[in-house]
Amino acid sequence: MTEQLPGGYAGRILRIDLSTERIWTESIAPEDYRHYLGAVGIGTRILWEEVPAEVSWDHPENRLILGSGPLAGTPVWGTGSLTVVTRGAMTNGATVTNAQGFFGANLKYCGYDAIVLQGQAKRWVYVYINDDLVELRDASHLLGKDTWDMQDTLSEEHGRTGHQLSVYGVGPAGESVVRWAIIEGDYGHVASKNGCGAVMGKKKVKCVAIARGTRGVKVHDPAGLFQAADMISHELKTDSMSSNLYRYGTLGGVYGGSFTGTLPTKNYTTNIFPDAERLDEWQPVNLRAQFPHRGHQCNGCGMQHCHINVIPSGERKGQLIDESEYEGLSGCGAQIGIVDPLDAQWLNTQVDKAGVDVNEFGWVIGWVMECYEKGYITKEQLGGLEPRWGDAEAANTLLQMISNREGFGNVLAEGVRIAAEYVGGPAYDCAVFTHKGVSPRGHDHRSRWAEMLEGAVQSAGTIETGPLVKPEEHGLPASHNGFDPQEVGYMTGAMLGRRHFEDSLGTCMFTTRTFLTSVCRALNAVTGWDYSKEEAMDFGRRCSHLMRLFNLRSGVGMDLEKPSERYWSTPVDGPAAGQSAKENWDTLVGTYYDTVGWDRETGNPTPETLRKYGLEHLIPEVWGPEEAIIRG
Amino acid sequence: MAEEQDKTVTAEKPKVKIEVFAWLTRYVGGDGGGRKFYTEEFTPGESLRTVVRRLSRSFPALDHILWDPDTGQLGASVEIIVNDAFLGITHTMESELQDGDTITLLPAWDGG
Repeated sequence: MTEQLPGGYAGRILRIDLSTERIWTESIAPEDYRHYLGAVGIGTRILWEEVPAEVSWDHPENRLILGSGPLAGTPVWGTGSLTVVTRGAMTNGATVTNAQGFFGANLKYCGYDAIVLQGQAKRWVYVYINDDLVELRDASHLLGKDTWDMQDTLSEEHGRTGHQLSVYGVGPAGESVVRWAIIEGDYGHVASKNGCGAVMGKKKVKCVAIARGTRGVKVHDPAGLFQAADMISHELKTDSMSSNLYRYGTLGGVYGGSFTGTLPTKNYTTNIFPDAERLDEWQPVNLRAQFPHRGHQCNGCGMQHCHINVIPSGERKGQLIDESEYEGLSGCGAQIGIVDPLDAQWLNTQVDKAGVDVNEFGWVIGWVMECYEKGYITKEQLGGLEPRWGDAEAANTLLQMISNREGFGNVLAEGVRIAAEYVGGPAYDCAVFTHKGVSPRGHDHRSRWAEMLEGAVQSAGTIETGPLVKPEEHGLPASHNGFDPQEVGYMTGAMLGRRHFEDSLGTCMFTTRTFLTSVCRALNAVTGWDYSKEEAMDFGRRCSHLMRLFNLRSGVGMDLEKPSERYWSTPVDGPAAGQSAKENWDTLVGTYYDTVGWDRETGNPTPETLRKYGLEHLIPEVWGPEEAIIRG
Repeated sequence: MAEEQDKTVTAEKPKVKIEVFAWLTRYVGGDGGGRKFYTEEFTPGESLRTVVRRLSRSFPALDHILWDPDTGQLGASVEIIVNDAFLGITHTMESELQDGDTITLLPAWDGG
């Protein structure tokens, strides 16, 4: 009997060869959807099968996969997510990066589960999608426009306002193939990791503009889905781990991080907030009260999270800015010495519009400011600019130089690791980076070892486990000692999997920040399956192991798995003063490897691991035919 | 030789200051901002766990989120800092407190 397409899926993958301008659709066998689930599963398979080692991130045959998942477009909160999978520019390895907004819902309503871009256009184009109408259109009039102007222009051209057209693409930085360019859309939502915007820019695609579409989403058990959605939203509102997110998003991070030593401050030279008298302005309630604002929620979302603000006074009065996430507030704030919340939020919006990753922006600009102060980089090198700590205008000038690859901006456009190698000398030791190329997220990870570990060993171009959500649901302790390398390595490895599962659903990780069983209940109501939390974790781990193999096959290996000297330096002040991740590094990494099932000698998932996660067919390729025979 | 005067006085019990911080103030009757301060007396030899638990019992909402209901161990929602150092550096939950120690309860933060 032929299986029917499960609920929640459109049943089509849209493929576009930019070199030949051929456009076609493919289907996945209905019985395979449970195995591949959504964007991460589908994208990882495509990377493994279609992107061999010799196809680097900037090669035309690299794939750029824009996908969602079975919950996209349903009444579960935050179900407009876009997940991007590609070989990224920062690591030349696998990338999974997620943006919110409406793209994922529109994609489903147009009748697609994912879009795969391959090849390279001969001229700048944008992809226009409205149900079955899929066209490559001339983008010459969009060149030079920032991401917000781009969306305004196309909305007007297509006569589609609000959420009737979702536009995700690159700003000037992506056009210039800045290595840490992002894909941005729906005014402030970004797929920011590992230079996915550089990949899009290299393909000469300015953006993908997708209309709301007219196809619905078939759901196996509509009543059950509404019940599950209600349960999840209730948990998000009332649970102590998520209720602050529900109310204020991540606004609390700066204020809290300034007391826990996790707020990166002046390029890791201190853990003390630069101006204690202004710290109260960074309390979430005060941050929001400083601006007239309105809600800017994503598809179907009831969180009181995203907002659009109006600058209330000063030279920029009346400008619209995005209410920043924590990482925007840190990368455009204390990391570069900025203590005025208005400056930080304005600068963060300029970063999004230009189209670069705000984490890497913080590491680049903080490094330049420190090096300028110490005389390692001169005014002459910077074309007359004098970037001092806390100078938002100077930071914006550098941003524009980077986005257009002007002067020293051309060096900085490669990211801080390569720029530091270029300048060399003592400047090199001031740079915060991972040797693999992954941009650390916007914290001081000397007080948060798990993320430093992940930044080094991850396979997805960013963290894969992240903050632990309900570890007790998996029989693990609810809390652990963050400075015990064995506990950190073990817990980080033991919780691997959840995030790839979430990013394959078409949802925001903030709206699935509850019990995995609740999320599975929603998935099962949509699809008719009986997914358990164990199957969910196993799915995510399978994706992770396959990405690991993809990276190792491409030469992104164990030798790169360590932080820069500044990144793993010992804090001189704050609540983690004197604690050294560097001294505990081997234990951190070794425990993680053992926990996830990787071989300490080669870095490969062991044959046992590959068998456990349904990847036994890869054993001969990874371990040789003998291993497959001996233990098979 | 003059008789010694009776110098017996009632010795003051040692005290710690407990700060409840930012979002966590919602669980002790606050608005989710700023800090609330409490002073707790303790008997020498008492542990951090004992003293924090004594405070949390006065605030059922705080008590509910602070401790894992199944294990009784510290839950995932709260971070504890003792005298400006993270838990695990100078103190564990079983460490004996000293007069004048400062205990800070913070919500667990992460970025986005």
